[in-house]
This record gives sequence, C-alpha cells and structure tokens, in this order.
Amino acid sequence: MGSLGSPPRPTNPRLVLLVEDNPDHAELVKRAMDDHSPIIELCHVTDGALALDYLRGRGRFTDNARFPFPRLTLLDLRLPKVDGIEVLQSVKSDPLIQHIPVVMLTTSTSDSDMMRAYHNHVNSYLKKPSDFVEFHHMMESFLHYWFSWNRSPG
Amino acid sequence: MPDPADTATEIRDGEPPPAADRNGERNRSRKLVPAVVLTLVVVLSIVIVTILYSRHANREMFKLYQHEQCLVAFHQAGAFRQEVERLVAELDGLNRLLQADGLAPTAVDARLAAFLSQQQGSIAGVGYMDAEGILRHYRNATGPLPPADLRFLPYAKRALSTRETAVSDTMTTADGVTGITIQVPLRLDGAFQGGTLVTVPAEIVGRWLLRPGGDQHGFTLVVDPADILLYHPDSQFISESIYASPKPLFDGEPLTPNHLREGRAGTVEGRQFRTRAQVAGIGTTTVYGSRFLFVSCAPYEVIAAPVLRSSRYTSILTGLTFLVTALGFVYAFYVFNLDKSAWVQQSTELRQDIRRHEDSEECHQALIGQLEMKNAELERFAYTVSHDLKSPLITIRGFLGMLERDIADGNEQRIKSDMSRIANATENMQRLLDELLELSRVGRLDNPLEDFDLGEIAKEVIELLDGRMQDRHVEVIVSPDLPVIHGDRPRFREVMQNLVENALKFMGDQESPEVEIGVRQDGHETVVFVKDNGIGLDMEYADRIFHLFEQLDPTFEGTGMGLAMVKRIIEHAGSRIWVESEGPGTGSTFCYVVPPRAKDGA
Repeated sequence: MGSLGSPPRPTNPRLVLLVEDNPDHAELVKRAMDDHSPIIELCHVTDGALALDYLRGRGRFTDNARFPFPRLTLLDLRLPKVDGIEVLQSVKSDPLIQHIPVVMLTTSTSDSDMMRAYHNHVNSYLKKPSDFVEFHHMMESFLHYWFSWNRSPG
Repeated sequence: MPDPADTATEIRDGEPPPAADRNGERNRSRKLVPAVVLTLVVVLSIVIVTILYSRHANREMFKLYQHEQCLVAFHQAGAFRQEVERLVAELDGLNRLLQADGLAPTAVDARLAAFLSQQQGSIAGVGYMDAEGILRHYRNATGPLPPADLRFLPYAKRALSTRETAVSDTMTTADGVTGITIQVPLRLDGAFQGGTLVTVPAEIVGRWLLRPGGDQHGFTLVVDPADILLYHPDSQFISESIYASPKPLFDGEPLTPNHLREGRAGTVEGRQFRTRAQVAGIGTTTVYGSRFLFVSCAPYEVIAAPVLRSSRYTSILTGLTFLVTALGFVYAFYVFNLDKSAWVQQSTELRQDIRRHEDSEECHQALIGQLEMKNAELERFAYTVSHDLKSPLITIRGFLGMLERDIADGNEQRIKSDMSRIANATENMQRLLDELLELSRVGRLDNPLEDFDLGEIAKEVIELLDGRMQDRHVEVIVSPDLPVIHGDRPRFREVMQNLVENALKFMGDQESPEVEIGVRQDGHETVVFVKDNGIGLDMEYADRIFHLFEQLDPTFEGTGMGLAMVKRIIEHAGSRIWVESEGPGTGSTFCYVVPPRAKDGA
C-alpha cells in the first residue's frame, strides 16, 4: 500500500492477474488471450504468496502505478506455498481487495474443490479443457464475458 | 506384572508361601475378625428370631389349651346346674306331696324317708325347715335327726327372707357332711311354710362333674360364691379358701378373685394344684342367686408335652442352623485362606483381561487413527496424481494445437518452442510416473531388516554426490557418532541421499555452503539430522514441503517427489520426520527419529 496522502491505487481495466505455477499453462493462457483480445494485459505470478503480495500491493509490488489493481484474477487451484483456495479465502476476507473478481482455472475435476471455491465466494469456476479447441473456445467466451458484458467496480 | 500374580503362581506351584507373603497373612487375619463378628451377629440373630418365634408359637398354643380347659369348665358348670335343677324339681315334687298331706309331722317324716331312699345315695340327707328357720325334720342314711335351728345359716336366712329357692355355700352339716344344701320353699294355701331341703356332699358334687377323658389328664375344682373350695379331688382341700396359697394363675401374676370373676384362663400352681403347674380354664354358673366357679386344670407338662416337644425340635433345629452356618463360614474362611491364591490369580487374570481389552481398544483407536491418516494421504495422493498427471497432458494437447497453427503460419520460432514444451511435458510425465512407481514400492517391496552403520551410508552418499559438491565447494561435516540403525538399509540410504541432494539444491547463493550430517539426543529419542545453511524456508510451509509433487518454488527442478518419498520411507519404518528452520535465508535442518528397535521385533 502506498503511504498516507498518496493517491488511491488505480485499477487497470484491461489487466488480468494470472496465478499459475506451470509456465506451459501460463503460456497457453497468454497465447489464447493474445489471439482473442490482444489489448488485454497479463500479469503472471507463479505462486499464491506472490498473488497475495500483488493484490495487497506488498513485497515487490508496492509501486501502485506499476502494479494497479487487476480487472480480475485468474487463479489456479494447486499452487506452491499458498494454494489457490487459501489465496481465494484471503482475497475474499480482505475488504480492500475482495471486490476484485476471482475466477478459478483448474485441472481439478473434484467436486469438493469446486464446493470449497464457491463456499469461499469465488466469482466463477472454470475447468481447463484438455482439448486445444475447447480450451480456445472457453478462453474466447471467458474474455468476451468478462471484458464485454460484465460490469466490475473500479 | 506386579507381585500378586507372582505370589499366585508360586503358591499354585505348591511351594511354601514366601516370607513376603506373611504381610498378606496378617491382612487376611485382619479381615477375619470382622468376618467372625459378622458370623456371630448373623447366627445370634437367627437364634434370637427362632427363640422369639418359638415362644410366640408356644404362647399361642397355650392359649388354645387354655380355651380347651375353659370349655371343659363351662361344660362342667352346665352339668352342675342341671343336677341342682334336677334336685330342685325333686324337692318341688316332695313339696307337693307335703302340701297334699297338709304338713302333718308323721306324714312329713314318712315322705322324707321315702324321698331319701328314692334318691339312693345321691344326697346325704333330706329335711323340712319351717317358716321360723327351725329344721323340723331331717333324715339321713342313719335315720331321723332331732330338730335344729338353721336361722343363723346364710342360705336359710336368704331363703326365709326371699322365700325363694336357695343354694348354700360350702358348709358342714350337724351330722358332719361337708357339701351344699338346696332348699325349696313350701307354701300351704298361699302361706309361706318354710321349705324342704337336701344336703349334697362334696363328693357327690364331684361326681356331677363330667370330665372327658376322665381325671387322668386333669381335674376340676368347684369354688362356691365365698371363694371356698366346694369340691377338690383331694378331700383335704375341701372347705379351704381357693386363695389359701396365692400362686400365679397367669405367668407371674398371682391368682386373684378378679381372675376368677373375669373367668380368665392361664397357668396356676400351688398346693391345691398338686404342686404342679397346671393349665387352668374357668367356667361359671349361677344357680338360684349363687355363683359357682369351675376351675378345670390340666398338668402343664402333659398339656404342653407336644408343644415342648416341638419347641425342643425347634431348639435342635436352631442349634443345627447355628452349627451349619458356623461350619459354612468356617469352611468359607478355610477355602478363602487356602484358595486365596486362586482368587488372586483369577482377579489378576481378570484385571489382565481388562487391561488387554483396554489395550486392544487403544490399539483399535490408534489403528483407526492411522487408517484415517492413510486414507487422507491416499485421497491426497490420488488427487495430486490426477492433477499432476493431467497437467502435462494439458500442456501437450494445448501445444499440439498451437503447433498445428504455428506450422500453418510457418512460424518456425514458435514451432521449435512448442515442440520443446511438448517434449518437456512428456519427459516430466515420464519422471512423474517413474517416481510414483518408486514411491508405491515403499512398503510394498521392502528389503530385509538389518543392522547398519549410518556413518557408512553417509560416506557412500557423499561419494556419490561428490562431483556436485566439488562444483559448489560445499563443505560436508559428518558426525563420527552416527548411530547403528536396524532397518531397511537401501531405503535409509535413499533418505540420506534425498536429504543431502535437497540441501545442495536449496543452497541458494550461499558463499560458504555447508552441510552437516549429525545426531542429537532429544529426550529418549535419537534424532538424525541433515543441516544446511541454504535458503531455508518459512515454517508456515514446513508440512507442505513433504507433500507429494509439492514445490515451494516451481523454478527449481524436480517433481516434488523427493521429500514425499523420504517421509514415506521414514513413516513406513514407524518413525517421523520434520524440518526446522529459522526462516528464509537461515538454512534448514531435516530431522528424523531413529526408529526404535522394539518396533522391528513387534
């Protein structure tokens, strides 16, 4: 967080915070985004602790101008250090950042993971399709929905 | 097991009780005292209750016998009354004859003689008393007697004043007969002319008393209205007062006129009762204003014989009860003392059973806990495997799609990158599968347990990793005190290798890297540790680093399988492993407890 008197942290309406430990998967997401909405910016962090640092503007991310609030967070479920559900819990229980939509993007097919995510107020829950075409379709709809139709604060 | 079991065994084996057992004996005799007191109390109360009951029963029986005597007495009173009335009727008949004769003196004398002979000894004499109270004519067995003045006699006085039939008290007549006199008034043309009378000797009165079973089982006394004995089987007592020698009629109470008047029954004793205790019942009858008592007596011994007999049996029975009870208790103590060992043994066995049961219960709980843990681990394992195996699949399929497009676009740069990502993913998958297989072998494919020197293993591992250590200029310190462990040697070698590799891997940019393999004593546990001065870790993640495929920092190579493997091996050996660190940058220490030897034997 900035010091007292500094302007409030801005929101970048085109920024997606991608929390993904697998670089290949991050690359797939990045390429899908480039294909469908080249204007969308992607900030990629590789673990849950970094994601929380970014959202709270701590650690490496204290510079509000360089690291504005993202339009939404795309969160993997299984992450090193702090896993996806814990990140979600922290976000949704922190009044300063709980308004940022969190969308789960996971390989997990477990119902209990999904239930835990919704219990912790996830905004959307997506399963990574293993099929390339499906994955692209999903990414397309996802971006279309969140950036064309969905209204978010900030 | 504690002493009792040992003592029990020794005694069971037939050896004399050891000196240590004397304490037990003293305890036993201390226990014997209250037991004996208890026995006495029980037996005493049985005896008291029996005595009370038999006394009660006896009293009830006596009441019955007394009632029986009362019935006899009343029966006899009735007989007495009948006889008196019969005589009165006879005298009435005589009176009518005398009236017919007009009381002519010669005729009277003749009539009296005829009457006397007619009565044939059932009376002592018969006479005529005039209205003045002078006995004008009297005749007994010996003949006529001279006239006599009867005015002073109570019955005569009564008869003269009431002009009614009168029965005298016990009296002795001028001719020496002791008995009663019955007088019936005589009227001539309505004028009172005195009356005729008969004298009945006591002996005759005695004959009136019908006694069932004869005199054998008792006797009856007749008491006149003045409490004088009118009849007694022993003639010497006739005319004596019944109270000549006051004796108890009821237990302890003296015989009083009231007792008689109330007609109460009881026991009586005294000279007049043949100096034997008698069961007495009393009956009464009032004839012409005179009340007579009839005391029916039966000897106490004879009457009470059956009761006394049964009471004797009761006593014998009580004695026997006492004896049997006492014997039972003595036997019980005998058995108790002799077989105490058996008792102790039984109770010890029981206690052991309970302990075993509790132990097995604990075992169950522990097993359930273990199973739950295993189950959770298995779930996590399946979850992790499915996730981590799917992950490279997504990569492969994703980049295959990309590849297609990139080939179409002719973007060679991208084609190369896509292909290398696919290749890496397949390799990654291969490694995951290999390591999973390896992991699954722990606990499935075990080597025989043996004693091995951990120091040797440390030496082997260091030799194996020597190249990498040389590259990084890592200094390795190996404690000379590393323990000898009993276990699966190749697995423990794997653990050592993994821990040292882990230390090397997370050395960071430490300028003087050090790895220490050492041992320390934590309480009664021997702890082996591998300590480094590398990047360390946040203790928040201390548990997670042992999870399957868990990597705190994905930029490091490896699958996150090594520490999971180490944990699995150590836990399979019945021990535990953990990591200690002061935080990031302070190095970390991996510790495991040397598995206790006893576990292997179990």
